[in-house]
Amino acid sequence: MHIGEHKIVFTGPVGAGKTAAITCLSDAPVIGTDVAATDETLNKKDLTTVAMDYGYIELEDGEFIHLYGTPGQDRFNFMWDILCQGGMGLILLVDATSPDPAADCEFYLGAFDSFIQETGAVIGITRADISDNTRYEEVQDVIIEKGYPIPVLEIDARNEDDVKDLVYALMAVL
Amino acid sequence: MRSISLSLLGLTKQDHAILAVAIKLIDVPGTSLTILPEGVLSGEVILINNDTDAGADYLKKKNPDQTKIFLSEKFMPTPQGSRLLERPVRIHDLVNAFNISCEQFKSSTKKNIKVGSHANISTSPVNTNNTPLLLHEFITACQKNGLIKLECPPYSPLYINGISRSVATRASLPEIHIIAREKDTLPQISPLSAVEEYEQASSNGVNIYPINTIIWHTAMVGANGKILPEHSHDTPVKLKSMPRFPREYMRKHPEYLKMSALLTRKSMTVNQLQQATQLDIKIITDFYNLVYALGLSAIDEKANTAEIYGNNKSKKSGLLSRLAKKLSTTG
Repeated sequence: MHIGEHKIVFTGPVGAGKTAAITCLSDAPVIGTDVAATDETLNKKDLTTVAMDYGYIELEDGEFIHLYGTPGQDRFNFMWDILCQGGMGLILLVDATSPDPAADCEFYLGAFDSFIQETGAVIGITRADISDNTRYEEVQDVIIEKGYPIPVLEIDARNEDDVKDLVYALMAVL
Repeated sequence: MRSISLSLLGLTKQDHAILAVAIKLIDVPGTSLTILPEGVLSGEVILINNDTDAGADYLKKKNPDQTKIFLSEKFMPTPQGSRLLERPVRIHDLVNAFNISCEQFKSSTKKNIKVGSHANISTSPVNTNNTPLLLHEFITACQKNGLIKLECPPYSPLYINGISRSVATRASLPEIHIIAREKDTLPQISPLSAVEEYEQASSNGVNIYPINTIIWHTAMVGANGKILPEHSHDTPVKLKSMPRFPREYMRKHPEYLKMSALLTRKSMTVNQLQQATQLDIKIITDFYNLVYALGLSAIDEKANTAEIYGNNKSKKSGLLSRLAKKLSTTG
């Protein structure tokens, strides 16, 4: 693994779609560290990522853009700093159907604050199609408060075009 | 230089004052306006005070070779090829009417005018459409909670409600594109007297659009580099938040995200954005017009408009462009 090279970090709460998003972009099958969920995560899905997900995009000249997904549960947050070292930017995925997506967003923006300041970030709101339409505004309010130039897109993390749009948006703010 | 003759009929002192300013702002290259003496009504363009008897009588005269611009207290039907500007007359509207007239006569043969005092005006290049004017009207309606009727025959009028931030019209979105794209016909704008009038106009199964939808569609047409009235390429603005770009818009204009990011960080003018991004000034102006019309940007008078920006290409820009290329070729 080339942790020191170009990489994009995907983060967000459990079940937000990080693994699915990396799978959409990766040139090779995603290497995951999924295990059977045993805690409150079980309410959301059977498997969950406990260390990280890894995929990559190989560019024409043989260079790699590495894609790392952080584990969702915040008890694994000791991994976050390690994964961010040398990263190009952050893609934060937030589940619109969670009880409080704005609070999730605030939490992750706070946790990755210095990384975002150094690089850039974009937020993807997933499952917006089956949630209340006010979620976007609530997340936008959090960003306005932070004063960051962070684009927010409503996406389907399983849809390749949607995930590419997130990367394009991230590239725009870097 | 094509000299176009302008007659005046029954203008008030205030009309003359507005005319004096407007005539200096005419913006059609290769043309000049020649004001004919009082009482000489044979100009190629004539500016008429319709609120006088002589002006009202002139409305009935048929002269297909003459462009008539009527100034009137009330909205009224006008002959084809003529224009109505309702009082209080705005300088911008009069300038637009003159610009359109000058464009029309620019390529035609000069009429034989034997008398005239001269007021030749040199002009700078422009080839604008209705987009900036429409956006300006939407902004004004929203800022003043106004009710406005905007007509551009043969299309259905737009009834703009700044209170509910909505637009009622039978015109389809593609027709609104055409109205915005129009260069030769200036929309007639008249205030509605009350909410009831708006409600009456919008009660018969017309389309009701959120005003932001109409702003997006109008801005999408583009203004050909022309900035909003009362703004300049040196007006500094800052974004209050990142715009919620519709997905198709973002794909069409990925550079809008870049400009949004820059303007969220600090206040910049159109000219400074151009220095920083090296984008076409028309793209930047369209972006400026759009975000201002949506209420997403605010003028920041304290900003340093003298600061010069270089095209700051970072080391990673090569990597990012290779990544963009890769993403565009897969899937």
